[in-house]
Amino acid sequence: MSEKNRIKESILKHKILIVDDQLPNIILLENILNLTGFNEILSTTDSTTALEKIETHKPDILLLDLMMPEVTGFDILAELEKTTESRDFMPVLVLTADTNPKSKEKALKLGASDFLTKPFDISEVSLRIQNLLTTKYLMDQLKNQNDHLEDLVKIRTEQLQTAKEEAERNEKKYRLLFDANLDDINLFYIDESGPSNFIETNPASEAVLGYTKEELLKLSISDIDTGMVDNEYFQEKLQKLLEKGSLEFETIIRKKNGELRNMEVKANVFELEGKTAVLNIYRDITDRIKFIEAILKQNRAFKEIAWIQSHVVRAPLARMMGVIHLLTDMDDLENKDPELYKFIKMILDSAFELDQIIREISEKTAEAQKNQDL
Amino acid sequence: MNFDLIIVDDDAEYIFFHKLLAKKSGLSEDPLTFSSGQEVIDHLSSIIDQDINNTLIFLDIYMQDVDGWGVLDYLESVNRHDKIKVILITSSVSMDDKRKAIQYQSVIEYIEKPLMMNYLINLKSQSIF
Repeated sequence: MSEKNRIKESILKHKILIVDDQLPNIILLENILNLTGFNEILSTTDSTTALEKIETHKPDILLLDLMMPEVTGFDILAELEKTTESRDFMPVLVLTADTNPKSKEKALKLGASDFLTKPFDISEVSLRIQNLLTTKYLMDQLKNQNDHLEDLVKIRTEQLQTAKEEAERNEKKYRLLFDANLDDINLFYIDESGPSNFIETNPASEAVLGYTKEELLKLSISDIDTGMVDNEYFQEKLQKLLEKGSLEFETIIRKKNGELRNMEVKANVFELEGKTAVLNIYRDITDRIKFIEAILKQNRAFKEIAWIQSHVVRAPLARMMGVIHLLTDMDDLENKDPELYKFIKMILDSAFELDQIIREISEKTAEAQKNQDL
Repeated sequence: MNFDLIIVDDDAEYIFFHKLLAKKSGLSEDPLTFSSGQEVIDHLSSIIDQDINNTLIFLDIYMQDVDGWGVLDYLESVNRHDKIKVILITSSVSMDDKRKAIQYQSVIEYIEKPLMMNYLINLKSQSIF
């Protein structure tokens, strides 16, 4: 079915109210309308009840006679004009025998949509009514669409508001992670020619690097990382970073006061606003490295001790043990001089005990040294 | 016994002690003694081309200059393990040293000092060569 036919079918179901003090006029109009196909027709000759009927019946179109006793068509138009905003659009087709242009003007000014002059031309009546109802139909459609659009906009606005609140909550969380972190976290752009100045840093940067955020925004890693004096250093790091997406390494940085510190660096690369950016984390490991060096030194000392234990100290002890043992073997001493034999045995046993202790120390040192072999 | 005994140790007292034990146990009447790795290498290289006797060496490991390892390396290069055998006698109690020693073909035993009379007596009854 075409759009036109669909509309026509629709409007034939519309409600029509006819107000005219002359019954013959009403009958005539009703006949014309029935022939066209309209069936929902209400009419009255009593103009005083017109407004009430409009209120209860809610017609889609009003056919209104002007010249009526008591309440005229003009009165009714004037009343309707007052409440026109609160109603759906209701076209008013004015019926009049008065051909005076002034009356027509007045009626139109008061809100009439169109008028028909008596005597009626049948086809004209039908056509005018259909046109007005088509207009109403389209106006109603438009209003529905607008209402629908308003609803959609409302829903969309609510969704956006919820999303905004969630984004704000998340931002608070992430900002906390960023600000509270004890490691220096910073952000900068990167390309083959080198790093840009820092575009963001967290409060820890002041403790770790010595610079405030304002100062850092004017600097780049070239001013901080002592490795950057070598251009290959940057290219090599950049290449690895782009390959794997992240990179861990150690370097020496220069703080604001000139002090050099060992840093563990963790870098991640990602896209930010269409450019390649690096998230960089510096952790000061200078103390850790000092400890490691101290342990290594201690290790070397252990090695020396283990060496000394296992050889240097044992040499004289083994000598003693060998000779004493020989003594006990000599010339049946056990029987000839049991007391002397006893003394010598005691010395020998003590020497063996001492030897055992040295062996244990030697083993422990060797073990400790192995465990710390870094 | 059917072999010559050489005692190598940089500690004179150990040389005296081991010489005494060798005599008393009957292992060897008159062992040769050297107080450094270099000395024994020099001695061996002077006789190596001749038809040498079976030779047992009591070898200390830790000596100045050329140590026991140096002597063992020399013996590996000479490659007369049928004729020259070594018993390491050392004051070291390190497992690493023991493991290292076993790798040398010339080494037939690794003993931690002090050397005991019983051991030498037992050694007599074994056929080393």
